[in-house]
Amino acid sequence: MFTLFLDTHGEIITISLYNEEKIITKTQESEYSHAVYVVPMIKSILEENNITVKDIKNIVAVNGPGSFTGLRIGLSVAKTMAYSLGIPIYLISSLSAYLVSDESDRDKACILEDNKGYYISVFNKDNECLVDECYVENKDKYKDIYSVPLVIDVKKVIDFALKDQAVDAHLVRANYVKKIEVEK
Amino acid sequence: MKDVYILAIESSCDETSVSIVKNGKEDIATTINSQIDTHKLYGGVVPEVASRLHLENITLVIEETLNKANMSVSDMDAVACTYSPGLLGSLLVGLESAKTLSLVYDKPFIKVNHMMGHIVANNIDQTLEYPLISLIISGGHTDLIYMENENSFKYVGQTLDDAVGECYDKVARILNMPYPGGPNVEKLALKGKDSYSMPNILNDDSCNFSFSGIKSHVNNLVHNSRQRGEDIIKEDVACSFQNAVTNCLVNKTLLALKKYNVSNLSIAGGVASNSFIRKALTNMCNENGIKVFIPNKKYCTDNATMIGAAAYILYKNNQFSSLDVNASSHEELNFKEKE
Repeated sequence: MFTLFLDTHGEIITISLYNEEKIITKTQESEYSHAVYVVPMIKSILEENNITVKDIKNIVAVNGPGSFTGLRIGLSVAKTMAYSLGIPIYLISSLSAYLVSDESDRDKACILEDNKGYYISVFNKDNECLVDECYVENKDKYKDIYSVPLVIDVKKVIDFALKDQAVDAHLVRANYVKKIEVEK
Repeated sequence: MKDVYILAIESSCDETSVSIVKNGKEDIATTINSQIDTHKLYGGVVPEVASRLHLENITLVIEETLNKANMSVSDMDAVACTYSPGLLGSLLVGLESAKTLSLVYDKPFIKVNHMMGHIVANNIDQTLEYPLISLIISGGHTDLIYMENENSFKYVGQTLDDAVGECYDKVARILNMPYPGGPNVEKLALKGKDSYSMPNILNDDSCNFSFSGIKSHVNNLVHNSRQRGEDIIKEDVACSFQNAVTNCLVNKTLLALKKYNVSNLSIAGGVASNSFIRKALTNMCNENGIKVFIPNKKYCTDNATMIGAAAYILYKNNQFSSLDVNASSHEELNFKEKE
């Protein structure tokens, strides 16, 4: 039985199948066409490894922050899959995913830049949260904290996400963090 | 032939809808989750908010529909979904969810153009006859389409600027009526008299429409009266406006019917739920020996039943889609819809 991992928050789509023995990963660069790739990638990663959807025991999905559209594409797929297969789904924030992928022995910040500001979160070396996720226009406050590279270690991310509680598929939502104009 | 069940999803604007349709005709179960109360707060549909609500609701709407029908996706012969036209972020939620169901249950996937759905809404509980002219009137479209058969589309006329429903919404705003404006203007017009002069809308020999002029006219009329300190009679403005718009719709539709020498008319789209317009078009058809098809009001506004009805035509013609279909905000109906 496999864990299906899905990350669509940025310009690289990552889809993995993971169990105790192995991890199989597919990535695809996509700026504005996530919808073209995500479902076909899942279909092909399953077929190429002679696995069926019935062999998926749970799902781990990155739910943001990041591209609003990218997230909604990935999460529409992830929640429909979890719902229709009746399997547990676990969500992890993109900031946490980058932070737990890093193994440095000190406090660490994840800074994701978008057109108007920065999404920020800070963990200590034991991956305990020091600064809750936020969206700021100025990142100077965090300039002395080591900033992790934006690289995802799928195995570490899945292990970390599975420690949390599963979410009801119907309640899967994107973690937008930033407020949109009409909410202000 | 064995019965064909299609699960259809529609999420192109502010309604999340899922339906199970049998043989393209029978509405087995339909759920429509409308976001209207949320968008009312902003005076119109906010695309980002709409997309967010679709993502929150999509699986709940699927589940409710399956429960009502007491069926599973494994009982379906295909999964269908609107891919265009509409709000991109909204379309994508339904589309990705439908593609996922198709993958999980190993069912054929069918992409459906929303406009074809509106036309084929007329096949639910009745049967369209061809060739026909279809008048689509909604918040985003005002189109006259010639159809030689159930799967061929030729644009005969279109609006050059605003859609008729959009114009109703703008006039509602000018008259300080809440969103959604169309039904409110219709109600107001019923109580009024045709006492204000309105422009003669695009009175030419084309089958095109134009509603920006009458919108500006109503705007000027109301503002000028206010500046002069005169009271306007809202009911009369609404009535005069509605009469002018309806006359234009009737005249242009009759022109298209004559040009193509067609004796069947299909009326569809959200504005087709306007009783005054329905009646005027029906009267025109009766006077000219035209057979008219209008959907039940609940199938005029956005719903997934019409998508299931349209998908059945594509199903019969083996027009299945691959799972790499992307959403499009503006793709028109092709003369022949093919992959």
